[in-house]
Amino acid sequence: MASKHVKPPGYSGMQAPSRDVIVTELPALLPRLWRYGLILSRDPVAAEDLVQATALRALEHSSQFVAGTRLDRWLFSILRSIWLNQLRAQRIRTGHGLVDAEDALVSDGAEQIETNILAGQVLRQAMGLPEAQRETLLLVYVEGFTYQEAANVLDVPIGTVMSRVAAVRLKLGGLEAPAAKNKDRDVD
Amino acid sequence: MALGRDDMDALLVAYLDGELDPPRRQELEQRLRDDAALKARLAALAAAGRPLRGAFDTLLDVAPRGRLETAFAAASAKAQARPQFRYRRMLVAAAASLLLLLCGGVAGYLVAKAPAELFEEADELEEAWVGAVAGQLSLYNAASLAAIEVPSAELEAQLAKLGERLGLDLSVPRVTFAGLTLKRAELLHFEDRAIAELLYASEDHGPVALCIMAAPGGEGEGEVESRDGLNLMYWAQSGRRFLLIGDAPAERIETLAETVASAFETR
Repeated sequence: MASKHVKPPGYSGMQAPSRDVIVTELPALLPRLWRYGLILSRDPVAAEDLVQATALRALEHSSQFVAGTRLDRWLFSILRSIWLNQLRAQRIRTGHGLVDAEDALVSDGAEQIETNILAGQVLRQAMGLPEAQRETLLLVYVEGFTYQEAANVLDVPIGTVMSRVAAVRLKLGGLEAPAAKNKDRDVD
Repeated sequence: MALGRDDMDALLVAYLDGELDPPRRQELEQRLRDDAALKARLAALAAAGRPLRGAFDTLLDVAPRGRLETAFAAASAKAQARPQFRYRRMLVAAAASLLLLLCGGVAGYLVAKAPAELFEEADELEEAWVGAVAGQLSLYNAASLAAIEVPSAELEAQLAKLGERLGLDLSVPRVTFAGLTLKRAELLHFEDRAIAELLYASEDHGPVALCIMAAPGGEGEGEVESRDGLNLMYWAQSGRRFLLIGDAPAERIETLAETVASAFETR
């Protein structure tokens, strides 16, 4: 599931190359792609690499983009699949050395974000959420995707999007402990 | 049947987000009229909303636009310079299907579907594992390779183990190539298929990896492709898939791929 090949709806494999659309419209989307990369990786440098890899992949596979469909959705899917494939490749490593280095990279990035780039408390809180919740939050509450659109990009059932969005709201709103106003107050 | 608290919260949040279809919305609104506790929970959830969009938009301001745009311009020039191999392959597959269709009428149509579908399937695996390796290798540079110190005895043992796993001779002489120093050999998996990955430092360029997957099939383009800023060639040989990829010029990858292929020709 994680490595699912990106194929936009209506893809036939026989479209004329849509490279022109990509070359013209992608530059305006670069900051949003970077932001998605940052939310996923929590590392500004990795985010930049992700955007670059996404742009390259989009250009190389421009024939798969169906003109008239949403370019941003397509690019978000590509970026996500690159991120997941990299993660997967790292996680399945049986060797040693790299994993530690990668962890360090990610935490350095997080520190940099906290101290230099993002002062906002909301952002810090959001960055502390698990990855799946972070990206769902970004897509739904920031990018304005409908639950269904987010479910498509994330490749999960819409019910999963619903529960992630609710979990985000509970956590960020400090309502996480159940029993705010109700009976059962025994679980954390 | 009553919903659990989590499900109920999810329903209330979806309501707040305007994501419920009219029947479910009306049903919930009816319940809200009768259930004070539920109404209180809705109010709490509504109050729990955060100004997320504004906060996240500050990230757009700190995005390194200049560098991103420069990199995109470079990538776009690079992509322009090379033909779209995959697109061409699709045309070839489509032409084959069409030919069958013309020759055999309805029967031809049924037969024609098969190669196209097979092609798609093979292409997806190829696409996915090549992409995964490229993504992983793009995280290395010369410095990260220099930091890898594996004793040669350990390397040999690892190679032997990998060879056994893939049913291939992966002795040191066979995987030693001029200009490259083997830094690490390890077993990876992609969708349950074993992959031997040999990671090399090269004298003149960046990291190079030779990957061999224990899966038959697959076909190469016979030409160098680029992915994630790396050049690569893949091909099928002796019932296995080979991928040579590296931060090195296309010509270097091509010559190296020939060397590798001939090293694996015997046995």
